[in-house]
Amino acid sequence: MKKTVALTFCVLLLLAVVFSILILSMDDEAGSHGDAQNGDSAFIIWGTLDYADETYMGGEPERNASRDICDAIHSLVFDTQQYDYCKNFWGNDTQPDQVYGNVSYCEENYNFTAIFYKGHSIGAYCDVEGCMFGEHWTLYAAEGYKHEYIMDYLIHDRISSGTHDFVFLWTCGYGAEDMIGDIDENGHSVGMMASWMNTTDLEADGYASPDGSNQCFIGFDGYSIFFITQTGYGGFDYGDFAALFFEYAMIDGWTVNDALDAAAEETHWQSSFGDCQLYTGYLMPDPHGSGQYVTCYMRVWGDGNLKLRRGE
Amino acid sequence: MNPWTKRLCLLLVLVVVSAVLFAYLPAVHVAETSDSDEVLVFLEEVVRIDVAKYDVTLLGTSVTHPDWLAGLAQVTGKYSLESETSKLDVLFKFRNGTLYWCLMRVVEGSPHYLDVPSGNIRDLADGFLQNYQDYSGDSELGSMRNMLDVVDASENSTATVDNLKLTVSVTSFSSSFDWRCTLDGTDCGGVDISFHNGHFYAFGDDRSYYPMITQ
Repeated sequence: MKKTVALTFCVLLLLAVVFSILILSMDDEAGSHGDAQNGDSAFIIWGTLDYADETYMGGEPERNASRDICDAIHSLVFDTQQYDYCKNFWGNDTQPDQVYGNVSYCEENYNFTAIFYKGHSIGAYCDVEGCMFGEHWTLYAAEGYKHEYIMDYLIHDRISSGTHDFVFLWTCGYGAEDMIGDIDENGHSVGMMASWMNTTDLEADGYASPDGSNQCFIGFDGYSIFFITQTGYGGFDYGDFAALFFEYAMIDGWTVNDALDAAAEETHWQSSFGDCQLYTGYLMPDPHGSGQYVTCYMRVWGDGNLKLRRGE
Repeated sequence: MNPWTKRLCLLLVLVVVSAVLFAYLPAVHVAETSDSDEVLVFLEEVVRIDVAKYDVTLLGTSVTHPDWLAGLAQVTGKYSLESETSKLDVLFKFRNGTLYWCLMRVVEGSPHYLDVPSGNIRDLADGFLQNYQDYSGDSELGSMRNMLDVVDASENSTATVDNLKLTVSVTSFSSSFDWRCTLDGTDCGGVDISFHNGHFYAFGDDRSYYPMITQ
Protein backbone atom coordinates (compact mmCIF):
# COMPACT_ATOMS: atom_id res chain seq x y z
CA MET A 1 0.00 0.00 0.00
CA LYS A 2 2.84 2.36 0.97
CA LYS A 3 4.56 1.60 -2.34
CA THR A 4 1.39 2.49 -4.26
CA VAL A 5 1.10 5.84 -2.47
CA ALA A 6 4.77 6.64 -3.08
CA LEU A 7 4.47 5.71 -6.74
CA THR A 8 1.32 7.82 -7.14
CA PHE A 9 3.10 10.77 -5.51
CA CYS A 10 6.09 10.42 -7.88
CA VAL A 11 3.84 10.22 -10.93
CA LEU A 12 1.94 13.29 -9.70
CA LEU A 13 5.16 15.22 -9.20
CA LEU A 14 6.47 14.22 -12.61
CA LEU A 15 3.25 15.21 -14.34
CA ALA A 16 3.22 18.55 -12.50
CA VAL A 17 6.75 19.31 -13.63
CA VAL A 18 5.95 18.36 -17.25
CA PHE A 19 2.82 20.51 -17.27
CA SER A 20 4.76 23.39 -15.67
CA ILE A 21 7.28 23.30 -18.46
CA LEU A 22 4.47 23.28 -21.02
CA ILE A 23 2.77 26.27 -19.35
CA LEU A 24 6.04 28.24 -19.21
CA SER A 25 6.85 27.51 -22.84
CA MET A 26 3.38 28.72 -23.85
CA ASP A 27 4.05 31.92 -21.87
CA ASP A 28 7.31 32.48 -23.71
CA GLU A 29 5.61 32.24 -27.07
CA ALA A 30 2.71 34.59 -26.38
CA GLY A 31 3.68 36.25 -23.14
CA SER A 32 4.01 39.82 -21.99
CA HIS A 33 6.69 40.58 -24.57
CA GLY A 34 5.29 38.60 -27.45
CA ASP A 35 5.79 39.38 -31.13
CA ALA A 36 3.11 42.03 -31.25
CA GLN A 37 4.87 44.05 -28.59
CA ASN A 38 8.60 43.75 -29.06
CA GLY A 39 8.45 43.40 -32.81
CA ASP A 40 9.28 45.91 -35.50
CA SER A 41 12.39 47.42 -34.04
CA ALA A 42 16.03 47.61 -35.08
CA PHE A 43 19.31 48.33 -33.29
CA ILE A 44 22.46 49.06 -35.28
CA ILE A 45 26.04 49.84 -34.28
CA TRP A 46 28.44 51.59 -36.64
CA GLY A 47 32.07 52.55 -36.10
CA THR A 48 35.28 53.56 -37.83
CA LEU A 49 38.58 51.68 -37.73
CA ASP A 50 40.59 54.90 -37.96
CA TYR A 51 42.28 55.80 -34.69
CA ALA A 52 45.59 56.76 -36.30
CA ASP A 53 46.23 59.89 -34.25
CA GLU A 54 47.14 59.03 -30.69
CA THR A 55 46.61 62.47 -29.15
CA TYR A 56 43.25 63.32 -30.67
CA MET A 57 41.83 59.88 -31.53
CA GLY A 58 43.30 57.70 -28.81
CA GLY A 59 45.35 55.46 -31.09
CA GLU A 60 45.35 51.66 -31.03
CA PRO A 61 44.11 51.33 -27.42
CA GLU A 62 41.02 53.42 -28.25
CA ARG A 63 40.41 51.44 -31.41
CA ASN A 64 40.55 48.14 -29.49
CA ALA A 65 38.34 49.49 -26.74
CA SER A 66 35.83 50.71 -29.35
CA ARG A 67 35.73 47.26 -30.94
CA ASP A 68 35.34 45.48 -27.60
CA ILE A 69 32.72 47.82 -26.18
CA CYS A 70 30.66 47.75 -29.40
CA ASP A 71 30.83 43.94 -29.26
CA ALA A 72 29.70 43.99 -25.65
CA ILE A 73 26.84 46.40 -26.36
CA HIS A 74 25.67 44.29 -29.28
CA SER A 75 25.76 41.10 -27.23
CA LEU A 76 23.78 42.48 -24.35
CA VAL A 77 21.18 44.12 -26.59
CA PHE A 78 20.93 41.00 -28.75
CA ASP A 79 20.49 38.77 -25.70
CA THR A 80 17.42 40.72 -24.59
CA GLN A 81 15.65 39.61 -27.82
CA GLN A 82 13.96 43.01 -27.89
CA TYR A 83 15.09 43.88 -31.41
CA ASP A 84 14.12 41.97 -34.55
CA TYR A 85 17.09 43.37 -36.44
CA CYS A 86 20.14 43.77 -34.20
CA LYS A 87 23.47 44.29 -35.96
CA ASN A 88 26.99 45.28 -35.06
CA PHE A 89 28.58 46.77 -38.18
CA TRP A 90 31.56 48.29 -36.31
CA GLY A 91 34.70 48.13 -38.46
CA ASN A 92 34.93 47.11 -42.09
CA ASP A 93 31.16 46.98 -42.50
CA THR A 94 30.84 50.68 -41.72
CA GLN A 95 30.75 51.76 -45.38
CA PRO A 96 28.75 54.80 -46.52
CA ASP A 97 26.57 52.80 -48.90
CA GLN A 98 25.87 50.19 -46.26
CA VAL A 99 24.84 52.92 -43.82
CA TYR A 100 22.50 54.52 -46.37
CA GLY A 101 21.10 51.11 -47.36
CA ASN A 102 20.38 50.25 -43.73
CA VAL A 103 18.71 53.61 -43.16
CA SER A 104 16.31 52.84 -46.06
CA TYR A 105 15.80 49.26 -44.91
CA CYS A 106 15.01 50.23 -41.31
CA GLU A 107 12.76 53.12 -42.33
CA GLU A 108 10.74 50.78 -44.53
CA ASN A 109 10.59 47.78 -42.21
CA TYR A 110 10.72 48.87 -38.58
CA ASN A 111 8.66 51.14 -36.35
CA PHE A 112 11.65 52.05 -34.23
CA THR A 113 15.36 52.14 -34.92
CA ALA A 114 18.15 52.82 -32.44
CA ILE A 115 21.63 53.79 -33.69
CA PHE A 116 24.98 53.85 -31.90
CA TYR A 117 28.01 55.21 -33.76
CA LYS A 118 31.58 55.37 -32.40
CA GLY A 119 34.15 57.39 -34.31
CA HIS A 120 34.98 60.82 -35.63
CA SER A 121 33.46 63.83 -37.35
CA ILE A 122 34.66 66.01 -40.21
CA GLY A 123 33.26 68.73 -42.44
CA ALA A 124 32.79 68.21 -46.20
CA TYR A 125 30.96 69.76 -49.15
CA CYS A 126 28.14 68.42 -51.29
CA ASP A 127 27.49 68.80 -55.01
CA VAL A 128 23.76 69.32 -54.69
CA GLU A 129 22.64 72.16 -56.92
CA GLY A 130 21.35 75.15 -54.98
CA CYS A 131 22.71 73.96 -51.61
CA MET A 132 22.87 76.99 -49.34
CA PHE A 133 24.37 75.26 -46.35
CA GLY A 134 28.02 75.44 -47.31
CA GLU A 135 29.84 72.92 -45.15
CA HIS A 136 28.13 69.60 -44.33
CA TRP A 137 28.85 67.38 -41.32
CA THR A 138 29.96 63.83 -41.88
CA LEU A 139 31.05 60.70 -40.01
CA TYR A 140 34.17 58.66 -40.63
CA ALA A 141 33.45 55.35 -42.37
CA ALA A 142 35.62 52.26 -41.76
CA GLU A 143 38.77 53.54 -43.48
CA GLY A 144 38.46 57.02 -42.03
CA TYR A 145 40.35 60.17 -42.97
CA LYS A 146 40.53 61.10 -46.66
CA HIS A 147 38.27 58.21 -47.64
CA GLU A 148 34.61 58.50 -48.50
CA TYR A 149 32.68 59.87 -45.51
CA ILE A 150 29.13 59.18 -44.34
CA MET A 151 27.33 62.35 -45.45
CA ASP A 152 24.51 63.90 -43.41
CA TYR A 153 22.23 64.78 -46.34
CA LEU A 154 22.60 61.32 -47.92
CA ILE A 155 21.30 59.79 -44.67
CA HIS A 156 18.37 62.19 -44.77
CA ASP A 157 17.66 61.30 -48.41
CA ARG A 158 16.85 57.74 -47.20
CA ILE A 159 14.45 58.81 -44.44
CA SER A 160 10.86 57.89 -45.32
CA SER A 161 8.82 56.91 -42.24
CA GLY A 162 10.86 58.91 -39.74
CA THR A 163 11.43 56.01 -37.34
CA HIS A 164 15.07 56.54 -36.37
CA ASP A 165 13.99 57.56 -32.87
CA PHE A 166 17.17 57.00 -30.89
CA VAL A 167 20.54 58.10 -32.25
CA PHE A 168 23.65 58.11 -30.05
CA LEU A 169 26.74 59.45 -31.83
CA TRP A 170 29.92 59.01 -29.78
CA THR A 171 31.84 61.47 -31.92
CA CYS A 172 32.87 65.11 -31.69
CA GLY A 173 30.60 68.08 -31.97
CA TYR A 174 27.25 66.93 -33.24
CA GLY A 175 25.46 67.44 -29.92
CA ALA A 176 26.25 71.17 -29.92
CA GLU A 177 23.40 73.61 -30.47
CA ASP A 178 25.03 75.14 -33.54
CA MET A 179 25.53 71.71 -35.14
CA ILE A 180 22.12 70.07 -34.86
CA GLY A 181 21.57 71.15 -38.46
CA ASP A 182 18.77 72.25 -40.70
CA ILE A 183 16.46 71.03 -43.46
CA ASP A 184 15.60 73.33 -46.36
CA GLU A 185 12.32 73.55 -48.29
CA ASN A 186 13.58 71.00 -50.81
CA GLY A 187 14.29 68.44 -48.09
CA HIS A 188 18.05 68.94 -48.33
CA SER A 189 19.62 68.63 -44.90
CA VAL A 190 22.73 69.49 -42.97
CA GLY A 191 23.78 68.15 -39.56
CA MET A 192 23.43 64.71 -38.00
CA MET A 193 20.43 65.26 -35.75
CA ALA A 194 18.41 66.90 -38.52
CA SER A 195 19.44 64.19 -40.98
CA TRP A 196 18.93 61.02 -38.91
CA MET A 197 15.85 62.19 -37.04
CA ASN A 198 14.25 64.54 -39.59
CA THR A 199 13.74 67.24 -36.96
CA THR A 200 15.44 70.26 -35.46
CA ASP A 201 12.77 70.85 -32.82
CA LEU A 202 13.93 68.63 -29.99
CA GLU A 203 14.41 70.04 -26.48
CA ALA A 204 18.06 71.00 -25.98
CA ASP A 205 18.24 69.46 -22.49
CA GLY A 206 16.22 66.28 -22.78
CA TYR A 207 17.76 65.01 -19.54
CA ALA A 208 16.52 67.82 -17.28
CA SER A 209 13.38 68.57 -19.33
CA PRO A 210 12.25 65.58 -21.44
CA ASP A 211 10.00 66.91 -24.22
CA GLY A 212 7.75 63.86 -24.66
CA SER A 213 8.61 63.64 -28.35
CA ASN A 214 9.59 59.94 -28.17
CA GLN A 215 12.78 60.87 -29.99
CA CYS A 216 16.17 61.17 -28.35
CA PHE A 217 19.51 62.22 -29.79
CA ILE A 218 22.71 61.97 -27.73
CA GLY A 219 25.89 63.62 -28.94
CA PHE A 220 28.84 65.63 -27.74
CA ASP A 221 29.21 69.37 -27.53
CA GLY A 222 32.92 69.82 -28.19
CA TYR A 223 35.26 66.85 -28.23
CA SER A 224 33.88 63.42 -27.36
CA ILE A 225 35.64 61.73 -24.49
CA PHE A 226 37.70 58.61 -25.27
CA PHE A 227 36.41 55.20 -24.20
CA ILE A 228 39.82 54.61 -22.60
CA THR A 229 39.71 57.81 -20.52
CA GLN A 230 39.43 56.96 -16.84
CA THR A 231 36.42 58.43 -15.07
CA GLY A 232 38.57 58.87 -11.95
CA TYR A 233 36.47 56.46 -9.92
CA GLY A 234 37.30 52.87 -9.09
CA GLY A 235 39.25 52.19 -12.29
CA PHE A 236 36.27 52.70 -14.59
CA ASP A 237 36.59 54.29 -18.02
CA TYR A 238 34.07 55.80 -20.44
CA GLY A 239 33.80 52.54 -22.35
CA ASP A 240 32.38 51.07 -19.14
CA PHE A 241 29.94 53.98 -18.99
CA ALA A 242 28.75 53.33 -22.57
CA ALA A 243 28.30 49.59 -22.00
CA LEU A 244 26.50 50.11 -18.69
CA PHE A 245 24.24 52.71 -20.29
CA PHE A 246 22.92 50.14 -22.76
CA GLU A 247 22.76 47.43 -20.09
CA TYR A 248 20.50 49.58 -17.92
CA ALA A 249 18.51 50.89 -20.89
CA MET A 250 17.47 47.30 -21.60
CA ILE A 251 15.78 46.81 -18.22
CA ASP A 252 12.00 46.68 -18.41
CA GLY A 253 10.46 50.12 -17.71
CA TRP A 254 13.77 52.00 -17.73
CA THR A 255 14.20 55.22 -19.69
CA VAL A 256 17.24 56.80 -21.35
CA ASN A 257 17.53 59.13 -18.33
CA ASP A 258 17.35 56.20 -15.90
CA ALA A 259 20.11 54.41 -17.78
CA LEU A 260 22.28 57.54 -17.89
CA ASP A 261 21.87 57.99 -14.14
CA ALA A 262 22.56 54.36 -13.26
CA ALA A 263 25.62 54.19 -15.56
CA ALA A 264 26.96 57.51 -14.28
CA GLU A 265 26.50 56.47 -10.65
CA GLU A 266 28.39 53.25 -11.16
CA THR A 267 31.34 54.80 -12.96
CA HIS A 268 31.71 58.21 -11.26
CA TRP A 269 32.03 59.63 -7.77
CA GLN A 270 28.69 61.35 -8.30
CA SER A 271 25.30 59.69 -7.98
CA SER A 272 23.57 60.91 -11.13
CA PHE A 273 24.25 61.85 -14.73
CA GLY A 274 23.20 65.43 -13.86
CA ASP A 275 25.96 65.63 -11.25
CA CYS A 276 28.76 63.97 -13.26
CA GLN A 277 31.22 65.66 -15.58
CA LEU A 278 29.59 64.42 -18.79
CA TYR A 279 26.72 66.76 -17.97
CA THR A 280 28.54 69.49 -16.02
CA GLY A 281 31.52 69.63 -18.40
CA TYR A 282 34.95 67.98 -18.80
CA LEU A 283 38.21 69.24 -20.27
CA MET A 284 39.74 67.95 -23.50
CA PRO A 285 42.92 69.09 -25.29
CA ASP A 286 42.14 71.53 -28.09
CA PRO A 287 43.76 70.51 -31.40
CA HIS A 288 43.52 74.14 -32.54
CA GLY A 289 45.33 75.67 -29.57
CA SER A 290 48.60 74.27 -28.38
CA GLY A 291 48.38 73.28 -24.74
CA GLN A 292 44.88 74.70 -24.44
CA TYR A 293 41.89 72.80 -23.09
CA VAL A 294 38.22 73.23 -23.92
CA THR A 295 35.16 72.34 -21.83
CA CYS A 296 33.02 69.69 -23.51
CA TYR A 297 29.69 68.06 -22.69
CA MET A 298 27.53 65.07 -23.50
CA ARG A 299 24.19 66.48 -24.64
CA VAL A 300 20.84 64.71 -24.50
CA TRP A 301 18.36 66.18 -26.98
CA GLY A 302 14.61 65.50 -26.96
CA ASP A 303 12.97 62.92 -24.79
CA GLY A 304 15.05 61.48 -21.95
CA ASN A 305 11.95 59.47 -21.01
CA LEU A 306 12.24 57.38 -24.18
CA LYS A 307 12.47 53.66 -23.49
CA LEU A 308 14.87 51.57 -25.55
CA ARG A 309 13.31 48.36 -24.33
CA ARG A 310 10.45 48.27 -26.76
CA GLY A 311 6.91 47.07 -26.38
CA GLU A 312 5.79 49.39 -23.59
CA MET B 1 -19.08 7.55 -10.70
CA ASN B 2 -17.11 4.63 -9.33
CA PRO B 3 -14.42 5.22 -6.66
CA TRP B 4 -11.52 4.75 -9.13
CA THR B 5 -12.92 7.35 -11.52
CA LYS B 6 -13.34 9.74 -8.58
CA ARG B 7 -9.72 9.17 -7.52
CA LEU B 8 -8.52 9.68 -11.09
CA CYS B 9 -10.44 12.98 -11.40
CA LEU B 10 -9.04 14.15 -8.06
CA LEU B 11 -5.56 13.19 -9.20
CA LEU B 12 -5.97 15.14 -12.45
CA VAL B 13 -7.18 18.23 -10.59
CA LEU B 14 -4.18 17.98 -8.26
CA VAL B 15 -1.82 17.65 -11.23
CA VAL B 16 -3.25 20.77 -12.92
CA VAL B 17 -3.17 22.85 -9.71
CA SER B 18 0.38 21.70 -8.90
CA ALA B 19 1.52 22.45 -12.45
CA VAL B 20 0.21 26.01 -12.31
CA LEU B 21 1.81 26.55 -8.90
CA PHE B 22 5.15 25.13 -10.10
CA ALA B 23 5.02 27.20 -13.28
CA TYR B 24 4.63 30.52 -11.51
CA LEU B 25 6.86 29.73 -8.55
CA PRO B 26 10.04 31.09 -10.27
CA ALA B 27 8.37 34.48 -10.76
CA VAL B 28 8.53 35.13 -7.03
CA HIS B 29 11.97 36.36 -5.98
CA VAL B 30 11.88 36.44 -2.22
CA ALA B 31 15.23 38.17 -1.75
CA GLU B 32 14.48 40.76 -4.42
CA THR B 33 11.12 41.63 -2.90
CA SER B 34 12.51 42.09 0.59
CA ASP B 35 15.38 44.18 -0.85
CA SER B 36 13.09 46.46 -2.79
CA ASP B 37 10.71 46.88 0.18
CA GLU B 38 13.70 48.40 1.93
CA VAL B 39 13.67 51.19 -0.66
CA LEU B 40 10.21 52.24 0.48
CA VAL B 41 11.41 52.25 4.09
CA PHE B 42 14.36 54.43 3.02
CA LEU B 43 12.04 56.82 1.16
CA GLU B 44 9.84 57.15 4.22
CA GLU B 45 12.47 57.33 6.97
CA VAL B 46 15.27 59.21 5.21
CA VAL B 47 13.73 61.23 2.36
CA ARG B 48 10.52 61.59 4.41
CA ILE B 49 8.18 60.76 1.54
CA ASP B 50 4.64 59.85 2.60
CA VAL B 51 4.68 56.54 0.74
CA ALA B 52 1.16 55.67 1.96
CA LYS B 53 -0.25 58.42 -0.28
CA TYR B 54 1.03 56.66 -3.42
CA ASP B 55 0.17 53.63 -5.49
CA VAL B 56 3.51 51.88 -5.68
CA THR B 57 4.61 49.74 -8.63
CA LEU B 58 7.87 47.84 -8.83
CA LEU B 59 9.12 47.99 -12.43
CA GLY B 60 12.10 46.24 -14.00
CA THR B 61 14.84 44.84 -11.82
CA SER B 62 18.07 43.08 -12.65
CA VAL B 63 20.57 41.07 -10.66
CA THR B 64 24.21 41.12 -11.74
CA HIS B 65 27.52 40.01 -10.30
CA PRO B 66 30.00 42.61 -11.64
CA ASP B 67 33.72 41.84 -11.66
CA TRP B 68 34.45 44.89 -9.56
CA LEU B 69 32.31 43.53 -6.73
CA ALA B 70 34.30 40.30 -6.69
CA GLY B 71 31.22 38.24 -7.40
CA LEU B 72 28.88 39.93 -4.93
CA ALA B 73 25.32 40.44 -6.13
CA GLN B 74 24.11 43.84 -7.25
CA VAL B 75 20.33 44.28 -7.48
CA THR B 76 19.15 47.23 -9.57
CA GLY B 77 15.55 48.32 -9.90
CA LYS B 78 12.92 50.99 -10.33
CA TYR B 79 9.75 51.96 -8.53
CA SER B 80 6.98 54.16 -9.82
CA LEU B 81 5.00 56.02 -7.13
CA GLU B 82 1.80 57.59 -8.34
CA SER B 83 -0.97 59.61 -6.70
CA GLU B 84 -3.60 61.88 -8.25
CA THR B 85 -1.33 64.89 -7.96
CA SER B 86 2.19 63.52 -7.89
CA LYS B 87 4.32 61.01 -9.73
CA LEU B 88 7.81 59.90 -8.72
CA ASP B 89 10.26 57.50 -10.33
CA VAL B 90 12.71 55.94 -7.91
CA LEU B 91 15.84 54.05 -8.99
CA PHE B 92 17.83 51.95 -6.58
CA LYS B 93 20.80 49.61 -6.27
CA PHE B 94 21.70 47.14 -3.56
CA ARG B 95 25.12 45.60 -3.11
CA ASN B 96 25.16 42.36 -1.17
CA GLY B 97 21.76 43.23 0.28
CA THR B 98 22.69 46.79 1.34
CA LEU B 99 20.91 49.75 -0.25
CA TYR B 100 23.73 52.00 -1.46
CA TRP B 101 22.14 54.12 -4.22
CA CYS B 102 18.78 55.79 -4.60
CA LEU B 103 17.63 58.43 -7.07
CA MET B 104 14.22 60.09 -7.01
CA ARG B 105 12.91 61.83 -10.10
CA VAL B 106 9.87 64.08 -9.72
CA VAL B 107 7.90 63.28 -12.88
CA GLU B 108 4.70 65.18 -12.08
CA GLY B 109 3.50 67.54 -9.35
CA SER B 110 5.20 67.94 -6.00
CA PRO B 111 6.11 65.01 -3.73
CA HIS B 112 3.94 64.21 -0.70
CA TYR B 113 6.20 64.65 2.32
CA LEU B 114 5.75 63.57 5.91
CA ASP B 115 7.50 66.78 7.06
CA VAL B 116 7.72 70.06 5.18
CA PRO B 117 11.27 70.17 3.77
CA SER B 118 13.50 73.15 4.51
CA GLY B 119 13.96 75.76 1.82
CA ASN B 120 17.61 76.07 2.83
CA ILE B 121 19.98 73.75 0.99
CA ARG B 122 22.35 73.33 3.95
CA ASP B 123 19.44 72.36 6.21
CA LEU B 124 18.15 69.95 3.56
CA ALA B 125 21.52 68.19 3.51
CA ASP B 126 21.75 68.20 7.31
CA GLY B 127 18.22 66.84 7.69
CA PHE B 128 18.90 64.09 5.17
CA LEU B 129 22.09 63.02 6.96
CA GLN B 130 20.37 63.07 10.34
CA ASN B 131 17.57 60.86 9.00
CA TYR B 132 20.11 58.58 7.36
CA GLN B 133 22.02 58.33 10.62
CA ASP B 134 18.83 57.35 12.47
CA TYR B 135 17.97 54.86 9.73
CA SER B 136 21.38 53.24 9.53
CA GLY B 137 22.66 53.74 13.06
CA ASP B 138 25.99 54.86 11.61
CA SER B 139 27.76 57.25 14.00
CA GLU B 140 30.34 58.29 11.37
CA LEU B 141 27.60 60.35 9.71
CA GLY B 142 27.78 62.71 12.71
CA SER B 143 31.22 63.97 11.64
CA MET B 144 29.91 64.46 8.10
CA ARG B 145 27.06 66.56 9.45
CA ASN B 146 29.47 68.67 11.48
CA MET B 147 31.40 69.53 8.32
CA LEU B 148 28.36 71.33 6.93
CA ASP B 149 29.20 74.10 9.42
CA VAL B 150 32.59 74.79 7.82
CA VAL B 151 31.50 75.19 4.17
CA ASP B 152 29.30 77.62 2.31
CA ALA B 153 26.55 75.36 0.94
CA SER B 154 25.37 77.99 -1.53
CA GLU B 155 28.51 77.91 -3.70
CA ASN B 156 31.29 75.59 -4.84
CA SER B 157 33.48 74.93 -1.82
CA THR B 158 35.58 72.30 -0.12
CA ALA B 159 36.66 71.52 3.42
CA THR B 160 38.88 68.82 4.86
CA VAL B 161 38.77 67.59 8.44
CA ASP B 162 41.12 64.75 9.37
CA ASN B 163 40.67 62.10 6.67
CA LEU B 164 37.31 63.40 5.47
CA LYS B 165 36.88 65.84 2.58
CA LEU B 166 33.60 67.56 1.79
CA THR B 167 33.04 69.02 -1.69
CA VAL B 168 30.02 71.18 -2.40
CA SER B 169 29.11 71.62 -6.08
CA VAL B 170 26.44 74.02 -7.21
CA THR B 171 25.39 73.83 -10.87
CA SER B 172 22.39 74.95 -12.89
CA PHE B 173 21.00 71.44 -12.41
CA SER B 174 21.71 70.54 -8.80
CA SER B 175 23.43 71.20 -5.50
CA SER B 176 25.51 68.26 -4.38
CA PHE B 177 27.46 67.32 -1.25
CA ASP B 178 30.20 64.76 -1.50
CA TRP B 179 32.02 63.42 1.57
CA ARG B 180 35.05 61.27 0.74
CA CYS B 181 37.34 59.57 3.19
CA THR B 182 40.97 58.77 2.49
CA LEU B 183 43.33 56.50 4.35
CA ASP B 184 47.05 56.98 3.67
CA GLY B 185 46.17 58.89 0.50
CA THR B 186 43.89 56.14 -0.82
CA ASP B 187 40.21 56.72 -1.42
CA CYS B 188 38.00 54.44 0.60
CA GLY B 189 34.54 55.52 -0.46
CA GLY B 190 32.11 58.03 0.90
CA VAL B 191 28.63 59.47 0.88
CA ASP B 192 27.14 61.88 -1.62
CA ILE B 193 23.74 63.48 -1.89
CA SER B 194 22.26 65.91 -4.37
CA PHE B 195 19.18 68.07 -4.57
CA HIS B 196 17.36 69.26 -7.68
CA ASN B 197 14.73 72.03 -7.60
CA GLY B 198 14.66 71.89 -3.79
CA HIS B 199 13.91 68.15 -3.64
CA PHE B 200 16.12 65.20 -2.83
CA TYR B 201 17.54 63.83 -6.10
CA ALA B 202 20.28 61.28 -5.56
CA PHE B 203 22.16 59.53 -2.79
CA GLY B 204 25.10 57.13 -2.83
CA ASP B 205 27.06 55.45 -0.04
CA ASP B 206 29.86 53.23 -1.32
CA ARG B 207 31.83 52.96 1.94
CA SER B 208 30.98 49.29 2.40
CA TYR B 209 31.42 48.21 -1.21
CA TYR B 210 33.86 50.60 -2.84
CA PRO B 211 34.65 49.24 -6.36
CA MET B 212 37.60 46.87 -6.22
CA ILE B 213 39.03 47.63 -9.66
CA THR B 214 42.54 49.05 -9.46
CA GLN B 215 43.98 51.22 -12.20
